[in-house]
Amino acid sequence: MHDPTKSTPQDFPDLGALKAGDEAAWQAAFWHLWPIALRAAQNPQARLEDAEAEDVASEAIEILISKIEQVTSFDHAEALVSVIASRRAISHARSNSAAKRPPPNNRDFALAEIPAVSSTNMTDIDLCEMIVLLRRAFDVLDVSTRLMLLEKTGDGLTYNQISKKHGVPLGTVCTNVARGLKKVRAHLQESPLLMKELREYLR
Amino acid sequence: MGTEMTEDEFDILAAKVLAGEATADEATRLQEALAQDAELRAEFAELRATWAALKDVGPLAQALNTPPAEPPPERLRKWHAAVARKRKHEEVDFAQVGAPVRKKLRVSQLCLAAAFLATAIIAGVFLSHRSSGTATSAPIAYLVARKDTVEVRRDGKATAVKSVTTLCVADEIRLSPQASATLITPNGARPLQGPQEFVNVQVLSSAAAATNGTETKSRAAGTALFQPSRQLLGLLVTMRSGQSIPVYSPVGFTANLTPMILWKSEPGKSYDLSIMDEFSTAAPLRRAGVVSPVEFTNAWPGRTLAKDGLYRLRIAENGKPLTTTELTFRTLPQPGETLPADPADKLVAAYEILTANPSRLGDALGALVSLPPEFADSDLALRLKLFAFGQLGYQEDFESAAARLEARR
Repeated sequence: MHDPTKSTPQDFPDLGALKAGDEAAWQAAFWHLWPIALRAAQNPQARLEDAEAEDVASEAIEILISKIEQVTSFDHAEALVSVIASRRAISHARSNSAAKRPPPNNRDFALAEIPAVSSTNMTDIDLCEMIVLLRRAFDVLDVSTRLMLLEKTGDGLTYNQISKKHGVPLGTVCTNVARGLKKVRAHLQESPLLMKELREYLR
Repeated sequence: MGTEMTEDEFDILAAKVLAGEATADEATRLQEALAQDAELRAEFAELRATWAALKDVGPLAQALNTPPAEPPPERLRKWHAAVARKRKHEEVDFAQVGAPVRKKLRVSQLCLAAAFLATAIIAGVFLSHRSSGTATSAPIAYLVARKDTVEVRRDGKATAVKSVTTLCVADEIRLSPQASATLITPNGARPLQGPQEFVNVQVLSSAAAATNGTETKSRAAGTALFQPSRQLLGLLVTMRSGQSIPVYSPVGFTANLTPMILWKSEPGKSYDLSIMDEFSTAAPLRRAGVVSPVEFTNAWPGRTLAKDGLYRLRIAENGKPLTTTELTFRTLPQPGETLPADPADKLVAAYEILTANPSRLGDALGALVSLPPEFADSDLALRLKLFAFGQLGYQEDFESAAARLEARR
């Protein structure tokens, strides 16, 4: 069995071994899956406490274990655990919100901060494939463009904040973000794995 | 690219407008440029769609690049226990496969082994499309009777099929001269037309693969229909919040420009609906205090959704905005025909919708939940529901359909 205290598993575990319940393969998988699930559970929209996010990430991994027969690659397993963790984090946040706040008197209280469901309602299979494709698309971007794109679309920083953080003019940030978007789209279009759903979605 | 705007200027303005950080003058400048240049409009539309996709799933894609890290030991122990429990459960499941066979045959261990070997050979010959060798209850095909007399002969006894039936490997099918039916196999759907004397289902299935059968494009949907029932629990890939209101139609893509709005409404409660065009600033379509289902044409007479549109549907329990579901759905560029009224046609349509690409889960569920009991309680309808509910993560509906399927065994 792999000893996690002595080394960090770098290789992706064999999917067949995972499906067969091989303990060493799962040990290596947990090293890969845990930080992914944890990061997904730390969804900024959910704003969970650290301990809550850990619980959610752990639950996501347990669900993945139970569904491993449905997984087609380790990439897919990673994407699926991130989807499960992210959705459960938002679900958890909604439960917290409902428990803590009094009943609303007007519609202004609607959960504008926390979407009820993902704004895309692609199936989980399609969503996992899209995540894997996007991950590969990020690889074609230079580091600064990728960072700026994610700080803008993921972290929600303003262009001014990104400009100050990176010490570059605001116009440069905007052109980097726009060109990063174009490159991501071009990569997704060229991918042989691109499904019709994705093309429809990105139109 | 238009002559009046440089690429740099377009990039800067587009990035600002997408982020909602443009000044009024900048937004106007971009709007004017877009109004004059179709190519620029197309480019901006693509940027906007990519922006939306990145905002939704970009952070998750980035999360996949997180370097490996050691999990807390107590979590590791818990997960390893879960793996061990699952492995043990599967071993028990496999062992239980033999129990009814042993009881029924009342034979020696040698004969039991022979029985398993025979099962394996049959599975290998007839069920070669599946990877599992433990299948004992997987359907081989489904027969949907559409018109006149359709019979299935099993163990020498012929039975008329009134609605839909599940077929086994040795079953034979007969159609009277005016009869018609649809045979659904792992190779796709094949229309059958009488007259036809009793023919083994395997022969007809093979013909479906070689001739004009509708190819099953979705492997996942095929799995839902032809896997042993105990393996179907894996179709529930994830779960959504138990608090949100399950919406059945429209979800994902719809080919209907006046779709039925269908959700799980609870007795005594009413709901507020709104449908907003994501590509337009027009006021949303709204209805307050309604219950499921809502016919679009009754709710908004004379109105239709646009082709190739993107819409946001919001359903809130009247007076309780905490109980709210919000989702987006798309209309196809080429809308399809409305669902047929005949239940047999409707069931086949649901199958074809779910196995098409893109899979229109909402349109299919709209058909499946409106079937009469003799069709709704069939293996075919229940398995299609399992697939759809599993894809949507509706655990309660999934478990209900699974229980009904199990009760039929």
